[in-house]
Parts: sequence; structure tokens; C-alpha cells
Amino acid sequence: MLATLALLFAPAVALQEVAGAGPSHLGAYLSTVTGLPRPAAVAFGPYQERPHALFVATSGGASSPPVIQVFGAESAPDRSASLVGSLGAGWLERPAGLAVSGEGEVFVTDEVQRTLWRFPSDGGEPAAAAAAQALTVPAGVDVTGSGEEQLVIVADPGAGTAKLFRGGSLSPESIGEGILVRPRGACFLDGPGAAVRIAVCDSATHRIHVFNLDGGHVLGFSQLGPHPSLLSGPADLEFADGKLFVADRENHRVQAFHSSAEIGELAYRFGVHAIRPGEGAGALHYPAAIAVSGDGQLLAIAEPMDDRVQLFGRAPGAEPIEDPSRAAIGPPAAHFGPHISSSGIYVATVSPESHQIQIHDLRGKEPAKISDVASFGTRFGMYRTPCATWLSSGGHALLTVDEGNSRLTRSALRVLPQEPLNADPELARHLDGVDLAAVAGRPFWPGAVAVLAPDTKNELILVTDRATDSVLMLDHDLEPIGTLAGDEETGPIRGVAGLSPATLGVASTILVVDSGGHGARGAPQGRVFEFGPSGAVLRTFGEGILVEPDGVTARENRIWVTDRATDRIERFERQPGGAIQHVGGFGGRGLGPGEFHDPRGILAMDDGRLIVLDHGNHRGQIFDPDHLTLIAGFGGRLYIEPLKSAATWVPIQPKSDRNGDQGR
Amino acid sequence: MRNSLLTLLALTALGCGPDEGPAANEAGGSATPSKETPASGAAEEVRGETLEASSSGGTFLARVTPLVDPIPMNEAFSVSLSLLDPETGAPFTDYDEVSIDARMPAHKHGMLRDVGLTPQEDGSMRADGLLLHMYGHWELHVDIRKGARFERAQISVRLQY
Amino acid sequence: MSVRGRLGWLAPLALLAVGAACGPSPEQPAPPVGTAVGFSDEQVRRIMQMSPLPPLPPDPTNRHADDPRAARLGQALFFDERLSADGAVSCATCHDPERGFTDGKQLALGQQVGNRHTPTLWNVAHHRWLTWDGRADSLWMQALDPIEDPREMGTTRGKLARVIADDPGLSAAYEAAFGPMDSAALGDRPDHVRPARGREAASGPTAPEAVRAWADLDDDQRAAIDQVFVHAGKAMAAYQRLLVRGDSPFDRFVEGLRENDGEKVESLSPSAQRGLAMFIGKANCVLCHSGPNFSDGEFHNNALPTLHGGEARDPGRFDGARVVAASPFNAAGPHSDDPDGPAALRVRQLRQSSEAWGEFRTPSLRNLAHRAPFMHQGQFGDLEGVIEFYSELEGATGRGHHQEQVLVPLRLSVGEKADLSAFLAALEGDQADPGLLAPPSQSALSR
Repeated sequence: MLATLALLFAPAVALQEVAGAGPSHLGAYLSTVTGLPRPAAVAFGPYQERPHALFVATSGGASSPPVIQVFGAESAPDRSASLVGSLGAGWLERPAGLAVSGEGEVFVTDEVQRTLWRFPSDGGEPAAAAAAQALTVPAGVDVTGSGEEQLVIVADPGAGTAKLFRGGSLSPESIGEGILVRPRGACFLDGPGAAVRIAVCDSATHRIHVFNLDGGHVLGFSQLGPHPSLLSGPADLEFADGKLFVADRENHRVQAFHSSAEIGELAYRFGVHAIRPGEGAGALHYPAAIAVSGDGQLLAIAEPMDDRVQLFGRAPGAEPIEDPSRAAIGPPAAHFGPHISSSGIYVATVSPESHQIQIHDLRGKEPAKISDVASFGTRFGMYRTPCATWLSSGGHALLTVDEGNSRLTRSALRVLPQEPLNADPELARHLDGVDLAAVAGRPFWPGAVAVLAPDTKNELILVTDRATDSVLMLDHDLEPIGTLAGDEETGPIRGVAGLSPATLGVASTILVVDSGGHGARGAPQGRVFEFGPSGAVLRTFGEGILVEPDGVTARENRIWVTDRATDRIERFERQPGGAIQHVGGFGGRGLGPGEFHDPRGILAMDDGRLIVLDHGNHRGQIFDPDHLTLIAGFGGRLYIEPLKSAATWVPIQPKSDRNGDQGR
Repeated sequence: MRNSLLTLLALTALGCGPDEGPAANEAGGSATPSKETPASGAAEEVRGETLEASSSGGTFLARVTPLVDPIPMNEAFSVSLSLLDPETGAPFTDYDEVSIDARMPAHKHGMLRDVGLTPQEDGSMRADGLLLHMYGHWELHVDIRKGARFERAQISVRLQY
Repeated sequence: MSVRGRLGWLAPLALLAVGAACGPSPEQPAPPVGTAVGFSDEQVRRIMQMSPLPPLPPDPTNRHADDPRAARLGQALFFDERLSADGAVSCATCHDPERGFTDGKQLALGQQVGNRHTPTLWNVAHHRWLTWDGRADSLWMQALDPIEDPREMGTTRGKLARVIADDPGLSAAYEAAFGPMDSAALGDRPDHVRPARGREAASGPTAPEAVRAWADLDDDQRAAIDQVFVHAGKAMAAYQRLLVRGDSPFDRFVEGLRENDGEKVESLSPSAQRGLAMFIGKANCVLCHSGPNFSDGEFHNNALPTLHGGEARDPGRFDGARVVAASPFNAAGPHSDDPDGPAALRVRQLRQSSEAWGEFRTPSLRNLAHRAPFMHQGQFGDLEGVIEFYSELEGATGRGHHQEQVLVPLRLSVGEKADLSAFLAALEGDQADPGLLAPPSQSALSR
């Protein structure tokens, strides 16, 4: 602590001391850059006269299109960062990865455009650095070298490999085929001699893999878990100080592994799990991107969930001093992932930290967790990264989708209506399943699942594929019968998200969220598709209203959509004739009743209640949708307290005119 | 086959719900009486009571015969596994891969061993080295993969004192 | 899907219901003769399975396991301080026969302080995995690593061969058990030679001197030294197999139940009998401390508080499983005398999973006297502390979501804790042969 204060007030002197005397480590908290609308990626590099400027790619909020902001982090005496420039405005739709070369060229991946941009150092227009369709859904990127020797590596979770671009070529080589499943971050590191190697973090297998430049696999290390040296959903990594610094996203920390002689051994870790809403100052909350400055003095971590980038510097000692009081906190408590489903007495959610499906019983005042459906592995009945669920048949049937195994699994749940609420670890039994990649004949990245007409001969199982932005349709026997995608008139889906069955008269239809991105001119392109069960596009709706929609649900003639960028729920109604019209919405950023932060899954339950998974607030909110009153909340205690702060559950002011108050 | 299933379902419906405490019946697995007589001439091979279960989609019948009687607690044992067509009783061979594993859901852990299956001359398969290391309710999982499809037959085993 | 198909998946559920018995059958407790506590038939069945300690399981991976000549050599080596870097540490330094074959310290101290508490050797031959994390799958394999571990003995296999060869007593005992030592193991070479450990470099300037010297030997020399090394381990294993103590008051109690002998049944005091009832009942210790050795021999993470007070850092079984599977000295390797047997199968099938992180081997509860402190870091100074932890689970830390969940706080009363203590004290076995608790005499050695 004292060492950190010394750094804050006398940076120049302290740096020399640290550099000169004995071992030092990266991980001493310095400052936070706040107010960044969903920072997705960070990098350090030269900008104008600054050798180590901080670049932050923000994927944007409701009123701010995506852009790369540049900060000078070394000039201010307190090491806080000041904005010195920006680039990429109007070119980016949803940036995912960022890297800056030694000459100041800026490389950005865009997951909606499915491309890699190279912005020249003089601030001019960017050029595409990848051929069309060379990348499936790119994420993290790194660059090393220059000119003919320049190497760029892109992690491509849509393709399940990393892509290596040599010397400015637009056609990459695939690295890690058959080894990588969902690579999210990639970086170059020093190998033995003068060799350059590639390290990739895989968020499905929870491992780091190291490859030679020719694609040869050197080794893989780590496994799923919350303990030291284990990982959960590693999102990004950076090479510095002879170590691989890994943003261990779902363990809410950074771990530094030795990268040379003792490759894969943990050197140290830092960043305790943020517990209270908004907690920072070294506490981390879903760290998603990491960068280290070229001189090894600064480390930046982006936390998109909290709209901030935290800066860490060096401190003396080979590793940070552990705070023993944090040991009692234990591994991160289960949070709610972005999906929710319900049927009968059960609600199913996915916990990102523990990669388990959790079944809650609704018969009490609030949902009470009664069972986990989980075991980590690749065999049938095991999960790597469960991402979505669908409950049907009065709660007797459970479908789960696992993006790590590219698998759909069907299970039966015991339903014992006469029993009192009781934890029941034996609630689920797995029945059968299907390998989605084998069915589709190509890499498949499942996201959401829904079922139409369960237990009938018209049963349709729908699974979204983020690799191709389409929806796979299976029949009850898990045989593929078609695909849903945009047509010539509507254009493709760009960022497939949530799914829901809907009804049009007596027929069933399918709603698919197209999260869209910001479009070339910075205008939000979110919308929802409605498909008929034959696969034909019936209509789209929500244009001009939805910024970054995610979840959708329908009941009778009403449709609700969550919007991650505005933190609102938008309401739509079916008109006679079938058209769908926006009729209002509610919400806005906050912790109170009817306020949200990154609302994701939404569900209109059989009994008419509306349940919203308020993902960024680690809670669910249950509403009476007719009167827009909050009935109950469930989830993290610190996030439920603000719901109860009102003496009684109060009606929320309906925001029927979206052009008005955005709720921020 | 169907009638006996209905009878069993009827028994279930009559309120014989699963009890939470240790059941007072025999040590070893739950079972339907095997229709098969133990192989004659295999005098040196012990065979326990055969356990069987239909797969979830009714595609096959899994028949597991422990080669020890009763199933021991915390000692490695072997089983003989046969996959049969549920209607004809003929060997079921329409699959690409088969595996056997066990899990103790109440404790949230599996078996501590990865057990392989070796084909035998009579068409059955043998798995060695299964280990159920704690008392209580275990699930035996027999999983097949055919192309992209997985299907499971699940058998309950309760290890008693 | 056909209707039959639909019923099909329900069938296993039906089987489950049948197997679970329609309705509990009431058990009439019929107290056997003289027990202070009424034990039901089922409880008696459980108790019978906890006694007596069975005959030693055979170890076919060690053809010398039951050879008395190998055991005499092993006993001599066990107490020999020349097998250490500073010449002051033998196996018996930490595995002190006077202290339950442990050392009374929280963390073992050989050449340096180690990271775990010394486990006992009483009845060690009944364990299937050795050491807290199971990094050895046989007693002879376990004996090898401490010789070269810098924190334990810190010497080398090359030096071990020299010590045996240069000592007439050891050399004669070696020859009697294993035949003459291959001369390729000796000859003109540095005393200290050994292969690289862990992530040490195997060659080059950063490799330790003994490792470079090992690389300079030819294949015959290395094979011969390894053979002496393995023989030494097998000899020490033969000795340790003799460290058996059963015949505790509890065992006499069980004999009394079997033989309907009221006097033997009184070997357990009423308090201890109540403790026994809790052990197999409410406290359910028997879930892991099962069988006549009072250990399932497998691994569990009890979320124990750490010695240093911070987060748990010892990977336990997660590391041990990796080490045993990769070692050339395991039951499936070239030095095993039964490379196709059940122990070899066991190590080949071992599941490697991060679910095993922080798991440690269930200790045997026999012969607990003198073994304090307890647990893998010696966190608890006495058994009362252990019982208190299981009662309240205070300070429990370090277990993840994917790991086994069996522990719940027992909330024991003062009387119940005392009863459990009394029962554990009744697991103390008879005295062992004092001849096993000290170095063998020279005459015994050369017999």
C-alpha cells in the first residue's frame, strides 16, 4: 500500500528505484479510466510523441458509436490517463481486439464486420488487413515486427483456430486446428533462442496453448478451476517480463505464468474479486482484455461490464503481497450468465464462473436454487462451457447447449410437486444429445436454444450459430431440417443473439434477435427477425429503436426485447394483420427496481410474469408486466438490497416514448 | 417388455417414492432379474446379478453384469457389458463408440478412473478397473455415439454397508 | 419417436424406484449382548466391515516385498543418515518410530522445511496411493523420491549406490537379497549423479552438476544405478510392510460382537461406543474413513484453513496424479515386477482432472497417538481441533464449485465430541515388535 502511494506521488523517482533494485512485479494498482462505453480491448503503443500511449477500443453505448480512444498515461503526476486522441470513428461496428505495432499502426478486429482493420500511424483511413471471409468471428489480436517481417495473430473463436498473417499478407495460416476450441486472446512471446512463439488462451477448455510459428504445438497448460494456476474463461493474454499475463475473466483476476524455463508454472496473481457494485481500485470484475506497455511499466485491464480500464504499475518484490483477509471470500460466488429459461415450477440459469446450469424452484417467494447440472469434461453428459438452456414440458424436459463441446444435450428433470423445497443434486438425468459441429459439417458456435411445439410431431429445436449468424433447426429426433438466416431483402443477421417462439394467430413463429452493431455511419442496427416455421422471413422490427438487443420473449400478442446498450426493456405489440409495433419500454441504468445494467435474458413465463436477467447487476427481476410493478428479485445480496430499499414494491414509471428520457 | 415396464411404472405411481435414507435391502445394485442364465462352463468366473436399462430413446438395451458378487465398495472390479436390441434381444451393433462411466450425483463427483471397454469373443465387452469408492447412490452411464448423436442408458447402483 | 421410445426413457426411473425399496422396513434395534449402545443389525454389519485389519495386500510390483532379507536391508537404510546431503538426516528423522513414525512438527524438516506434515507409516502397506497427494503408487516407488528431493534427503542415487557398496554390512545384505551389485553402477564416476528433477535443465550450463554428470554416463551405467536405486526402494518397502499395528480395543469389541462375548465387548467404553455410533451415523466419518484401515485410500478436499492463513495453494492430488502417471517408477513402468497387473491398470486409468485440486489422501485413523499435529499442513494441534473443525467448519476455504461436496457442519455437542474422541482413542493398536523400531543390529543385518 505504501509502495503504491509512493508511486502515485513521485512516479519518476520511484520508477528508477524499482528498476534498479532487485526484483519487481506488475500488479500494483495505480488508477482507473472511467466513463468508457463498454471497453472491449486495450493496447499500448506509440501515438504522436508518446511512446507508450494507451489505446482503448470501446464497443459503444446507446449514444456513443464504437471508437478507439487514445490516452496518455504517463504524463499526469498521479498516473491517471488523459484523452489525447481518437481514431476509427465511423469505421467500426463492434471492435473486439486491438494491437499497436512498434511504428504506431493500429490493428483492430471487428466481430460484426468479421474483419481486421489496419489504421496507419498517420491517422489516415484504414485498410482491410484480412481478405474477405478469411476470418469467421475474430477476437483478440497481437502484432510484432515490421514490414516483411511483420506478424499479426488473430484469435478466431468462430473458426476455432488462431490466424497468422505474415508480412502484410491478407490470407492467414490457421494455427491450432484440432487443439483450440474457443480461442479468445492471442499474443506473441519469446521462445528459446531468437524464436518467436504464439500463445493463445481458450475460453472453452480453460487452457493456454503455445505454438511455434509453423503451427507446431509446443504445449498446453492449466485447466478449469478457481484455485491458483487454474483458469475460468480466460479472455485475453499478454507477454511481458518473461511471463504470460492472463485476464482470468471468470475468476476475476489476473494470473502471470512463467513463459520460459518453467513454462506454465504460476508466477503470481493479482486482482481480487470485486464484490460490491462498482467496486474497483484493484478489485476486478470480469476482466476481459489486458495489455502491457513496451517498457514493462504499465499494465492495463479493460472491464467492459464496468465501463472502465484499470491501470497497474510496478512494485518491489517478486510477487504481490497477498491480503489474507480475502482468503475467506473463497472462489467467486455463482453469478447469472446471460440466459434464462423457465417452465412449470423451474427456472434454469447458467453460472459463468462455475460453468454449471442451475435449476431454481419458483414455488417460494423468490426462485430458490435446488440443483446444479454440471460436471466438467468432453464426454457426453459433461460440459465445458454451457451457454444456454430451454425448459419445457412443465419443467420435465431440459435442453442445454454447450459452446465448449458444440453440443446440445437433452435431459429429464424430476418434478415432485408434493415435496417441500429441497436441494436435490439428483434432479437431472441426461438422455441424449447431438454434436452440432458434426451435424452442421463445420465449426459451430452455439449461443441460444429454444423449442417450438415441444412433445408434438411438429417439434422444432432451434440453436443459434454465432459462427455463421444463423439458426439451426432440428426435429425431435435431433435431425437437421433447415437453417434460418436473413434473406436478400433483409440482409444477413449480424450478431445473432436471443431466440423465442411466438404466435401469429394459431401458427407458431420464431423470433431471432439480430444485435447488429453500429453500422457504417454509426447508427445502431439492432432489430428482431420473425421467421415462419418453414424458414421464410416474415418481417423484421425494432429498427431505429433497438441499439444492441439481446434477449427476446413473446406471449400472446406481446413481445419484449432487452437492450444491452440502453439498459432498457422495449415492448412491442402484434397488430391485427401481423405487423409488430413498438409501444413503449422501461428501464435505464441503475440499481433500483426496474433499473438494469446489461439486461440479457428475458422470459414471459406461463403464469404471465416477466422475468429479466439483469446480468450486470448479478440478479434477476420479476415483473407484473401489465402494471409494470416489480414482484421479486433474486441474486447477489448486495444487488438485491437496492430493490428492497423502497418501502413497498412501487409501480415503475412507464417510459412509453423512447425519444424521451434514456434512463441513464 | 412393455408390460413389465408398465408394471414398474404402476409401482412407482403407487407412492413408492424414492426414500432419502439408506435402503434396507441387499448390498449391491438395483436390478431386474436377468432373463439370461449365467454362462455355463465359466466355472471360474463369478457373475453378480445383471443390471439392465433401456436407453433414453429406446434404441438399445444395456446389460451390465458385474464379474464379482456383490459389487464391492472401494475395490476395483470388472463388468461385462452387452448392448442388445430391445425388441429382438439380438446384439446391438449400430453405433460408432461406446463408453461406460459412473457418477455419484449426491456428492458431485464421478469415478476416479477412466475405464475402457475391450470386445470379447462372445460379442460382449469387458471393462476392468471400475471403482466405486464411497457408499451411497451411484449412476452407471452407458453412452453410445452414432455419427453426431449421443444416447445414454443409465443404471442405478446403491452401495450399502 | 414412437410411444415405446417415450416409455423407454422412463424405465430406468422405475428401476430406480424399485431398487430404492417401496417404503422403509422398520429395523428393530436388538442390542447384542452387553453393548452399552443399542446397535441395529445394519449398524452391526457396518461395524463388522471395519475390523479386523486384513492380511497385508500383496504387492506384485515388488517381487521382494515379503523377503525378510530385503526387509533387513530396508530397515538398515531407513535409519541410515549417510543417505542425506548433510549426513544428518535419515528416513527415521521425520518418520520417527517414537512419534508414531512422524515428527511432531507441522511441516516436515529434512534438509529444509517442506510444505507438508509427515504422515505416519503405521499400516502404510494398506494404502494404495502413497504420500498426501498420491504421487507414488507403491511403497517402493514412494521411497525413491525423498532421497533426491532437496528438501528431504537431498542426496543422489549415485551416492546411494556408493554408500551401500562401501559398507560391508549393507553390501552383504544387498547381495543376499538381490544378488551382487552390477559393477557398472560403481566404477570411475562422480559420487553424485542423478537425472534432472521437475523443471531443471537436463543438460547445459544451467543444469546442476549432478545432473550434468548423469548425462555424461553411458546407458549401462545409468541402468545399473537405477537398478540399485529401485532395489533400495524395494528393500525399504519390504521393511515398511512389517509396520503393522492392529488389535486395538475396537478390534476386540468387534470380535466380541462376532463371538457374542460380553467381556470382549466391554473393550469399548460406553463413551467410545457412543462415539462409534456417531462415527457410522450422524457424523458419517465412515464415508471417507471407511474399511478396516479407516481410510478409503483416495483423496478429498476438506476446505481446510491454511497454515499461512491465506488462500489454499497446495494443488494436492491434482499434482500427485500427474506425477505418478508420468513417472518411470510407477506400477506400469519398466522397474515394476508386474507391469500388466491391476496396479498398473490403476495408474494407467487414473483420471487427471482439476477437480482433484487441493485434495489429499484420507489418513488412516488407527494409531493416532503421538501423531499430532494433524492434517496435511499439521493445521490442528490435537484431535479435539480436528473434531472441532468438522463440527463447525470454521475457516473452511479453498474448494471450488466443480469439486466434491460432502462436508456439512456437524454441530456436535460437547458430549458428542468427547464420545468421538474416546472412540478414536480406542483405535490404538497393540505394541509393535521393538526390533522394528531401531536400526537392525549388525549381526541381524548379515544373517
